Amino acid sequence: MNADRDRWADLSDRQAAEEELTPEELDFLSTYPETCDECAYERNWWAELPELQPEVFDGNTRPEPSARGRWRVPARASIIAVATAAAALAALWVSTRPTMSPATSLEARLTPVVTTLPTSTRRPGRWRAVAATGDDVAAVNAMADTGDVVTSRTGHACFRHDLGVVLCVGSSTRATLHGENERPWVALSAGRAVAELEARDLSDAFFVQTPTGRATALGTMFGVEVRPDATSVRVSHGRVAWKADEGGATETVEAGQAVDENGPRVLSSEEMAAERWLLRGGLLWRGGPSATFDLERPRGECRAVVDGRQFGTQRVWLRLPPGERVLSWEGCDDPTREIVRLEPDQHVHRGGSSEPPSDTPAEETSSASPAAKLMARARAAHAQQRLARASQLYAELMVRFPSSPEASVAPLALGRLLLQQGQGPEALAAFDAYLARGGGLGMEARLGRIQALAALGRHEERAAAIADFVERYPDSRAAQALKTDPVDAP
Amino acid sequence: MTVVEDTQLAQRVADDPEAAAVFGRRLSPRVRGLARHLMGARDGWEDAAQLSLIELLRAAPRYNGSGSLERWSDRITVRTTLRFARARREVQARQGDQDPEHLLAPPGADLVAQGEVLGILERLDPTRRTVVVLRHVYEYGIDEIANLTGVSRNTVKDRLVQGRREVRQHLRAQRARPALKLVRTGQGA
Repeated sequence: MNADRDRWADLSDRQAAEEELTPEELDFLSTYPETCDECAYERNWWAELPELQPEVFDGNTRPEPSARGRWRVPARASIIAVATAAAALAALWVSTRPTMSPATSLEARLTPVVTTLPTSTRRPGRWRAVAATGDDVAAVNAMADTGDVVTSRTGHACFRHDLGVVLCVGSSTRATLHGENERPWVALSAGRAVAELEARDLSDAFFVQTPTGRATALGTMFGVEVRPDATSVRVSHGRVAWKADEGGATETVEAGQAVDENGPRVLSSEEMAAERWLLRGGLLWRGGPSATFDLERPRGECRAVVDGRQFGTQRVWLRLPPGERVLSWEGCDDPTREIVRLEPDQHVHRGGSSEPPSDTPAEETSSASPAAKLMARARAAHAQQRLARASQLYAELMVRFPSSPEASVAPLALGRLLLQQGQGPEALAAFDAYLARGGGLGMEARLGRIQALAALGRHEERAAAIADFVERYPDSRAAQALKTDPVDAP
Repeated sequence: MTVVEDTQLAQRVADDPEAAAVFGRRLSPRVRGLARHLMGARDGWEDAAQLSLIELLRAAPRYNGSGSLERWSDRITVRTTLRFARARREVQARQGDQDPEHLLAPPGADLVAQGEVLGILERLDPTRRTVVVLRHVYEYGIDEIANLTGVSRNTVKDRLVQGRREVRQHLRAQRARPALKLVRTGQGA
């Protein structure tokens, strides 16, 4: 046993020193920690070290504003930024009541080459498909009328209502779209849906109802899941008022919280990441002229990346604004990249049997694991202050490689990023998730937690967190600084 | 921020106080972190960080966008910090008030004092710590570290492996005696 352990350590050192390893050695290196706790612990320890990069605690537990100042680049449609800007302007109703208007049964189905509806025919107050993934789902690329039914099987589909609601449904989901020239709402019979609301008039209420109750949301990003035995509501931004059909009292679900059959609880960073992941294709187009992409992976495990957004290895259909788009295929042996110019109403197909042009990014050629590569890209984006991109990559890492060492530290990185963006509740949930899972950077996560509590104005909890920190790390510089920190200051 | 915008920012640092402020705020956390990791918790790392920031502001107009601003900043910070550490070591050795071999290492830094991870890093031999920090915290390649620290590739690899072995010993000891985390002897830094 010790011989294997020593062999693993030796190989690990050699890999760190950039020595070439045989496939058998690489395999041993990646699989042996499954049977050696000590090796897994060490592997995770090394994987966490990059999170120490920017951290020097100077006694200030209050988050600093972004360092980009007036040099900030106007962000491309960013899930987080858009969600924050649109906070508390609308509510969503996903209803399962059987008394809806007669369905015209517009079923989502596979259409190998999706045709484009001319934008000139678009009328306000209707739904349009904006994204879909899956090997058996392409998109409903047409107007949707009241009562239209969308069924997704293995992939997901996103729709945008002209009044400013984006709704994405996950796999094994059945939903009925409503809202022709009226306030939009969706009946969710089964599965999972995530919605983001753009700026809308508060009086134009949008709400959610499940088989067991109604969720009236005053938030911009939230998810609803209907399972055979229960319904859950998850709020990433804003607030949702949840009222059970049985006549119970209305409960308010705040950002960063979820409510399910067991009552309210903290929304985990993994859940938030999953919501963002589901929405990722739905926010690229916000009305106006459009063109469409139909992307099939060319071979192997390639995944499509459009303008930096990753879409997994399934077939992808997207509606996008016209203009230049960067399309790349990553995660495969021969990653490629091309710039595609989309004209209004144009449909572009890539992948399948066609060979995309070759333009291999240097960073994709290393022998690092896919999770490590993804983490490296997330960290690079974070270091360059491309926060929305970094957030997206961290989220993707947690969803795609949940058991990897990189995913275990991702909540900490994501928490810092969210804190930097002023998203205190989400940051707090991320730090809590890291601490719940455990890791070597508990001190850093606890500092982040204190900062998040300060940002939220939760002074009593912050004081308790500081006391806990000082007790745990009594001789640290951070503890010395925190001892003199005015805990009651706003 | 794109490389082009970073280049524009850097080139305006000399003439535009607001650009200089943005530039400083952007790089300061990374510079301070790197200086701290290279020098350990010993007094002096803040001076090294300050010198590095001054050097970065001076050098900003020469940033040409051939790599990321952060990597460019790291290069200057590593060189400035190591130069500062050497100078400090020589001065103190002349004054005879300290063993020059230990000027980069915090005496008796314990794992509790700085949190487990920082504590282990700071216990490493200084030359090994430099390589381990650059390789594993800042994710530089072996050749890049050789270039940054001015030693050969083989020396970098040797120091890295030795440093990793040191870390491994600490990790194994830590796992074998978890109660140590709660023990305070009063002998720490």
